[in-house]
Amino acid sequence: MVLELFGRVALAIIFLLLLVAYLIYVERKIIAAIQRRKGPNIVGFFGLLQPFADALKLLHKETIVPSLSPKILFLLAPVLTFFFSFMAWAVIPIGAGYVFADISVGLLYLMALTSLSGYGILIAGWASQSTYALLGSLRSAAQMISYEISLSLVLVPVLLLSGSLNLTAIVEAQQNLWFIIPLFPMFVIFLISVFAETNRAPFDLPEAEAELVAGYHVEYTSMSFAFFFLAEYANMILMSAMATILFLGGWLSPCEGLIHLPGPVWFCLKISLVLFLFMWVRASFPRLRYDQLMRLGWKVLLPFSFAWVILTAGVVVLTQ
Amino acid sequence: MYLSDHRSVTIDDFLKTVTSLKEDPLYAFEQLMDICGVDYLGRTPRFDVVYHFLSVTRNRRMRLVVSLDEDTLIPSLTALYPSASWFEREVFDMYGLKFQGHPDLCRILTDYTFDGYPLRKDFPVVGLTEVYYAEDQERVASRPVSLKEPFREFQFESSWQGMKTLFVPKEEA
Amino acid sequence: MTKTHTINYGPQHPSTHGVLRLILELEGETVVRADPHIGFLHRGTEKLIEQKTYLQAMPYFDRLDYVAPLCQEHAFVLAVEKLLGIEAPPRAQYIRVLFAEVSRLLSHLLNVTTMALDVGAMTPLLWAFEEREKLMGFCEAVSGSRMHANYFRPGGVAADLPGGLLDRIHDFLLTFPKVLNDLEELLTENRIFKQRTVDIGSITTDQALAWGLSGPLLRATGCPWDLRRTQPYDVYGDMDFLVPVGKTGDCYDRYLVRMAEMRESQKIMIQAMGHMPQGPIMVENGKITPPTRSAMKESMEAMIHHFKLYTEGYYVPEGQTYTAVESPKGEFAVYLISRGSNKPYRCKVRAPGFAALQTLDFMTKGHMLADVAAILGSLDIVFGEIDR
Repeated sequence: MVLELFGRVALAIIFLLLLVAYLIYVERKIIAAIQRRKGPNIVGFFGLLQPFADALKLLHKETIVPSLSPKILFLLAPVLTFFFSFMAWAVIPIGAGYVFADISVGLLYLMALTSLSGYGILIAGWASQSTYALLGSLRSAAQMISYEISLSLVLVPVLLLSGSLNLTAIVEAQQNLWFIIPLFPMFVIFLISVFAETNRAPFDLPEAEAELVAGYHVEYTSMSFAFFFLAEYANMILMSAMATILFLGGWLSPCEGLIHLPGPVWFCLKISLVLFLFMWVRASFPRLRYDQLMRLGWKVLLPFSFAWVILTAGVVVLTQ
Repeated sequence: MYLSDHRSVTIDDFLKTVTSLKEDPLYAFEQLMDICGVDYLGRTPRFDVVYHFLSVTRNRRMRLVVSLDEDTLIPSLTALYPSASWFEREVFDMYGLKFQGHPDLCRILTDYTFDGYPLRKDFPVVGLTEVYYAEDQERVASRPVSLKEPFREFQFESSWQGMKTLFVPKEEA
Repeated sequence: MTKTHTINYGPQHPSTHGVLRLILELEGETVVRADPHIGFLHRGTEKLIEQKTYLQAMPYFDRLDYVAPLCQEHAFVLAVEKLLGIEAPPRAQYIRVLFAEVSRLLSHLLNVTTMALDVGAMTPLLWAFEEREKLMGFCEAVSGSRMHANYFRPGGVAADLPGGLLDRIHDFLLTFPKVLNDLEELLTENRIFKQRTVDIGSITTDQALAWGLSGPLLRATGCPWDLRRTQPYDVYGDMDFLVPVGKTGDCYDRYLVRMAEMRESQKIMIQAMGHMPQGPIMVENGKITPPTRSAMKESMEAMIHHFKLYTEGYYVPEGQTYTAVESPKGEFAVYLISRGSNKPYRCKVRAPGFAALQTLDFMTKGHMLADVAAILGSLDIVFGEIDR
């Protein structure tokens, strides 16, 4: 029983790792297409083996620990980040009944884990003993905290409409109407906050190449760097999954005629759509400045989502 | 077309001349475009410092030449033209001429530990030192230049001086 | 008491456009002091030129601002011509103007898009590089080299345009405005781009003049000063083009000025191609112009001249000249002193980037760390010319 569970978890993690690896490949291809380049096309057919080549390259590189760093903390940081981003997947339902832990406070669990992943970055910045890394991690911490608030506020209307913290129940509440339709502004704010939360362009300040070189992972090499990298992309998929579950009706098919496609396929399609948005935005927009990001978070998104929470609550009370 | 003047001044009149050039509305040289040192080895005084001014309003250029020897201090123009700062540092770096009143007169283009003034005519083209990676000390160190083959300066000038005297710019037909 | 901390920005840093080392004193993320350390690319060009004949000195000018090589060559050939008292034939002058504008496009395309990269937009760079590739193809067609063309000569240009090149350039120029439109679509009205560049590093005209700035940096402050217009050289005087100016002198205006200048360059190139006369491409003076291959096969005299020109070179009459051209980065000038020998006695290169980089300290003061990247990008610095 325990063994079987272990097997299933291992399988899921391997599947997820593959997914992340190919997400990186797909991102490179999509951005290449937008920039009128070819992207990876040498290793394997259409460059399909590129992720493995990258992984091998990273594996056989030397792990360098800066001489002044606390070694344990330095190596712990990427592992933590990686661990948290994969742990979150336990509660994500990819289809009716396809979920590891169908706990009743799934959403709360997700929020808790995404908050925790900030620690990995903070530790990394602190342990690197480099000004660039420190600045990067400080930015990242500030950014995560401020955007988590608006992120959580965005969730409240969803909770009000679905009446549950359980992710399966949230999806099931969207049988008739996906939440994106009544809560469209919330969906937009959710996406913006998610971009900031995952440190992706245009909010990739913690690792802003032009200013901080690579931010918090500037001192990392080899597998410790790979962990950060995988965690970032796993987080992207996770957040897309969240967007799908909360707003796009999870595994539900969009219309009656297409009901025969299995739920997980729909789920994957919707995730891909959101992920494509991530890449599209990355290829098109410059990066905001740190203070502008903070201003956007605290002065625009936060009051707006507050107002929507109150509005939704009012409507829910009135219609009941 | 635009006007372009050449003027030589003595070091004592220098600051006064520049001030008047800048403030006289007839000239109004707002911009100091360039400061350049020249080494006339064998002449006394040995060095020239050449200033190029530009007037945007009058569309006019002016070249000001100050002659001086190695030990003479030249007044710095940083107070009049902030752009002079780096140009003066460059002249100091290349020729070792010192500017009086410059806020931060230090080397600019050469290496941090460089010795000598490279654009002086008596400075060898191959330089005095070369840097190499010192394997035993695990750092980059410097040592006197040693070339596998000695540097040869080719003298192509004709011993008959033929082309010198023959050269006449051809009249446009 | 607030505590400042220092970071070492470069010399290996993705947004220093080469090998700039910047000691930044930060208070949190606000810049208190910026101290640029330059000279990492110092090759002693001026010293080397003193050892070479005038013809041998040409290639060094490609290697100054390696993004716009032909504009540098232009300054040098004009200076030598002035001392020699010759003037290039009309066709050569048109060819030079045409290729100086090719260089300007090369430089502006690179600068505008790397500045966008510095503020985080990476797509424009790749789009612009496609165009730069075509432009470098034109340089290759006339000189055999994509970047370091070594194409201009005192008294004209090295070789005539190969057949069909003008048509190729013309085809390119017809599609080029569309590429500019694409770039503008991504950047000009992009709110994030504007947030990052508007009112960043703004300077007044007086400041720009006092700091010796020229070119787009000066024009962005609203001063319509363009050497191609005010002190025309070659056939720029006959060209019909506008001098775009900005208003506030901030990073955004510099970007706009450069974009507008590219459109003007396109106009100049079309005119230069349209008016280009037939005729010789070098002055007809056997003491300066090397003989043709075919003449060398038949005439002993030509053979001797060829040999002498490529070993001894020509003697330049005594004199000195400060010759400036409007390079894409500003006033690029050559101060040439000849003492009547076959080698320059002194050749000072006035690099526009040298003066521009000097202003970094006061431009970044009080701005944030991220703005340093944007300002550096907008200054359009290339270390080949700054360090020389």
